[in-house]
Amino acid sequence: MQRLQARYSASQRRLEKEFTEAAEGLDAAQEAASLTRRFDLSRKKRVASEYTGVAEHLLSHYKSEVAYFVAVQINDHLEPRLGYPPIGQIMVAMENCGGKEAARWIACALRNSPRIETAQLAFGVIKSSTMRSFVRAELATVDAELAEYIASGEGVRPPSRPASSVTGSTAPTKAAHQTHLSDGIERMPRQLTDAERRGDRLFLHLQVVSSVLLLLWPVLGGVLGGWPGAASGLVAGWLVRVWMRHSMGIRGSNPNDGFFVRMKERATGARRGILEALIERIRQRSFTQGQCAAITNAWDETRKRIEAATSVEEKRELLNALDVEIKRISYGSGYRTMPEEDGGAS
Amino acid sequence: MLPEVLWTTTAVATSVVACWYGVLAAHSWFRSRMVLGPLPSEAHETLRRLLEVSRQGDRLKLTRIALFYAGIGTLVVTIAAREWLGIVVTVAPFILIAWMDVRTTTAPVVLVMGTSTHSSIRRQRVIKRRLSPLRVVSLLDVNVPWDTSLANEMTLDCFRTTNEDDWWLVITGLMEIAPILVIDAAAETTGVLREARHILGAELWRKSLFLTPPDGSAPVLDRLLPLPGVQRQDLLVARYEEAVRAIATMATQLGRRGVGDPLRTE
Repeated sequence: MQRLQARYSASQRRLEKEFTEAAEGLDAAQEAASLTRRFDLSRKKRVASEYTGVAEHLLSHYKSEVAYFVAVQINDHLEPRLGYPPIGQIMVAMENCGGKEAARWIACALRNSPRIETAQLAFGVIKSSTMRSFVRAELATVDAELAEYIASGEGVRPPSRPASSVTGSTAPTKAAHQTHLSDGIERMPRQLTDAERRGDRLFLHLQVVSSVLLLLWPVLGGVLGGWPGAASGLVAGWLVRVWMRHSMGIRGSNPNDGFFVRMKERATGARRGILEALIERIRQRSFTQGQCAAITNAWDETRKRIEAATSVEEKRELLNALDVEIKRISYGSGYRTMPEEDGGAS
Repeated sequence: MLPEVLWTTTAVATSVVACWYGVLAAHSWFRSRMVLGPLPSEAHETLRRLLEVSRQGDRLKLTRIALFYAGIGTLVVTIAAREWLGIVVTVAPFILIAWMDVRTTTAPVVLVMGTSTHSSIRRQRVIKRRLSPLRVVSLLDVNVPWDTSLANEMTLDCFRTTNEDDWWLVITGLMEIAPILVIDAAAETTGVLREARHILGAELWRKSLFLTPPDGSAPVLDRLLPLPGVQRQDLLVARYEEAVRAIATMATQLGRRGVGDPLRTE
């Protein structure tokens, strides 16, 4: 991803160079001011149809790169007054105008996003399939690999919730009838019990303590025994931290991968660590070997499908589906748990 | 010699930080108390609960626990070293915890509603700076990737939920608590429409300010009004550029009038 971002930044720099060459001394800010007056842009409502005139003018009077940077100037100048970024409406108006020139303009806009992921999301907003293929072709003339990545946002559908503070819909969703706050965890099949909350709190405390001890022991050692004490404290702190994390079932530095590694171990019959057993005892709910095997299978299956997936959106959906499945296995009623099934702690 | 220098330096540095955050917490608490009056303890409990389901809830919880153990750890070292300056260092994390509690559970004075655009988040920042130390909160998505300073500044006042199903309960809970509601009447999304419908239907419009672009267009109000008992002329409407001044006036009036009374800008 870093490599792609670097190539994206290089393409952005090339775009600026292309603009300088195409502008031939033309001042984009001055042009923007003139168009603002001519089309009375400071009074436009937030609808694309209001910007059709200016979009057509930009396409017919300037080269695409210049037209794009004039629109950027319009945006910078008017956004504080309008209260919304007009360039978004101009882009939709461009799409409505259609044609290859409009596609070139949109391609310029996609090359000038802050990050490549933003460009990919913006590509997903283009509704017309013809325009999408035009824009993709335009991007491919600059960098085929970038074009492929950005256009993989093709499958992005309009969000089910509006991009507002609301993020909600007026449709009679679950939210409309919900009377209690959830636990603040996405895709949970049910609320946590008090015991589960206590167990989760203990897990968090133990995690913090394991890190604090790594610092505390060397300091304490230093205070009590000078430099040798500090060195011994450092070793002791590190050992305690390693033991605590291992005993809690934490594997590796990536919590996501670590969770599945641990599930695989437990699926093959590994015993629980002391702290892991303590946490599960407090939660009054332990993972059974069957649950761990089901989670491991779900992860293996999803990994294979992710490798075969072509778009980022598809991968995201697979991960979301995995998340739902794991929470169903972990908390759903179909998987009853037996606290001592795994046979105590190691 | 070295331990003394270390203890003194650490004590001076932490006492400066502790004093700064202590003063901030006290200032915020007194100002809010002056404007809002004494709030029932349930309001603080509600805010704490709303914060737990917000996106920064977990991070705040982790920070609080880390500070707590940092304080305990320092106390252990202080006792072991028998160094009285260590008490100063020990107190600092607990003052930071107190500041976090005041900063995140003090009742908001203004709730901003609208779409999560860069400009609307910046508008909230301007309002927040103008009213500081009073709280101005929203559920806007403040994680703007290309403007991290904005995101960092707004994060403690963002109640955007992790679980989307919580949104409606959080926004209506905040609407009840905040004495001033500010809503973008030009943001014609289903969510904002639902918020506006609730404001108009639940008689919350008396404490609301409806924002419009310079041309005065308010599609949200056009869609919802007239309603029985609510005419457009009854509502407080201000253009974007006048928003900060209008809200500051409302907040000033708030200190003078009862909280439930209708507010009017000059």
